Amino acid sequence: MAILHLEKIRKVYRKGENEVVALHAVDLDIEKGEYLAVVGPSGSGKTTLLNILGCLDVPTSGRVVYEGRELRALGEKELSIYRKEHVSFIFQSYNLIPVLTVAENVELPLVIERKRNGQEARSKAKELLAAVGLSGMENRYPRELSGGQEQRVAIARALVKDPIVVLADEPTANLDSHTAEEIVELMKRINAERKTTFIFSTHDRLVMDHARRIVTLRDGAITGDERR
Amino acid sequence: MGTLFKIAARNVLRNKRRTAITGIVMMFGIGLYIYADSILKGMDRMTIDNMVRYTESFLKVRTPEYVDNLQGNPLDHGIPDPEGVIRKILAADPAVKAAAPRTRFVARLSNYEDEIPVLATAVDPVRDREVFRLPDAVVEGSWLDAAGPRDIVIGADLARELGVGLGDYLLVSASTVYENVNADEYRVAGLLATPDPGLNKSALFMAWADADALLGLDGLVTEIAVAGGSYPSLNALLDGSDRAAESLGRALPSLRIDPIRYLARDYLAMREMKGKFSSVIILIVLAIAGVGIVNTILMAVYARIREIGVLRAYGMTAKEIKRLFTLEGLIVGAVGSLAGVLLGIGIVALTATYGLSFESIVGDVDMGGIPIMDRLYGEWNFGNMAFGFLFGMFVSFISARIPAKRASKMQVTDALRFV
Repeated sequence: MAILHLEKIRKVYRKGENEVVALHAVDLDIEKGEYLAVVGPSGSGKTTLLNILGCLDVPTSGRVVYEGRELRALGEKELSIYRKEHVSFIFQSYNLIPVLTVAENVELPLVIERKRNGQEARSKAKELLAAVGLSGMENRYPRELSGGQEQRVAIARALVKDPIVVLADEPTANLDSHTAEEIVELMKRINAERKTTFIFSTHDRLVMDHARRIVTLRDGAITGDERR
Repeated sequence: MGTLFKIAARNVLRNKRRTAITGIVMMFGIGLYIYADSILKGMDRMTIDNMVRYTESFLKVRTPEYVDNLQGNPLDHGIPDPEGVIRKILAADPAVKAAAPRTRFVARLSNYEDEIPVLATAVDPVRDREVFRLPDAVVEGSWLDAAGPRDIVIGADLARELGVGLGDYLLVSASTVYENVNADEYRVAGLLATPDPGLNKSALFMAWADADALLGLDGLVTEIAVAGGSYPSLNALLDGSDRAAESLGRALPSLRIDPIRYLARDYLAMREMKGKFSSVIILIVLAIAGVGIVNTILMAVYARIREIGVLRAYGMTAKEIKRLFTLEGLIVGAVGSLAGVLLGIGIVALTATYGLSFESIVGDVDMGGIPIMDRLYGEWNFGNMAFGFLFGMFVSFISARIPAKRASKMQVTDALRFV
């Protein structure tokens, strides 16, 4: 059974008097543990699709079903729980909180989730930082890190709460090719070890080469769905 | 809450200059309010104390008819059997410490060239000393109890205006009880410099025997001034005077007993206005500080739109975002308010210990007969300090809520896209 089921998803933005159709009639099923890349040119609707999957945005019409529950029916509190516990994000420009240390940034989702005490959160953050190769950097601030290190922290932050789904919007776009390869390898390893579902939006050939499934979007519609 | 507080506290320090400016505005606002309140309360205490010590006394006993015709300081409607009344006064209430008979009359004082109208008082020099501190205010010469017959004590400014000094003679003329004018020559035995500019400019004190000879008083006493004990605060003094007036009222039902609250009613009404004025000061200053906090937090919101997006993406609710930014405003407010209270305590400690020369502030200005020319000491008012702090926090809370609400209403996707 699909962990995420999208049915006839349509998203229309209003820009002044004009309507821009970002997605129309998108149907998609995503299985647990998939390593899926959403590809397509700029403006094809990749980010909109990820935002809808993460409940950061709501579709104009259509259904998003997560583990048998329609997300549209959820209230603010339940949506918050979905974002706190089930889904995580990795952003193109990392978006670390500059006033928090590396360890505190990683702990942040657990603090928001409020399910673990401070000590548990700290040891979990330490474990994740070790997993992404940043042991010993716990007390540094984001400004003291390279772009690759920042993205590793963002990955650790995304994984610290053991999410079911990780949504990564162009995670390698700001990285050099060597660092991008390291990051892709890291996410692939985590996907294999933890069975975490990864859904990327990307332009990056490297990310596409590692993906086990590539969904192609063009003008808001799925034009290809290739499994490897 | 720990990490939320940590984020809020570190964000407050993120733009140190902006936070410092807001905190400093709050600090000066609250510090100024505490200082102004202390000075105003000190001024109240000083003014009423001076009225008790030099002009009005703790309470006054007069006949109702005399009070009804007070404007002209008439030489009738005197107190019947004043010595008997004084005995009753001293026995009626333990708060009463002394009582002195007085008779006021309007006179004209002449140096044979110029003539000035004055408010004269016939006193018993010994008993008057037990009620008033006029003898302490004699800056040249001596009070009437150490002077000889046909000696008078006048205000130092009055003497200056008439160009006379100690030992000089002045002609005093006044209407007698028989409503004819009498005049006689008196020697200046003492010059008064009290905190009351009115006394210094137009007061004349004369011993009872001399006034009797001049005006034919024949034992006429128009008022009995009563001294009370010492009280720790102005309100205690006012309440003590009220209670004593009630006791005396029961003992002397045919006479009118006016406590200091009545005698100083014009000043006390002005004091209420001053209280409103100081409230307006704090409102204006804290409104400015409030605008500063709105600005500080609003700038923080705009500087961190993407962060807000991330926090929302990770499950923080709109309410929690609002709480975070409100917390930031409260931290700025708490630091500013605390600094303001400490500043206020520092200034009040200085003025309460060393005082301020009020004369050097306002100069030799007649404030409508209010005795203000004295060293002004600040009054401690811890309740008001707590109010200043809490009001600062309240203003911070309200001010921070506006931008915090805006932050919480931001669309997550818009926030994440914000560059």
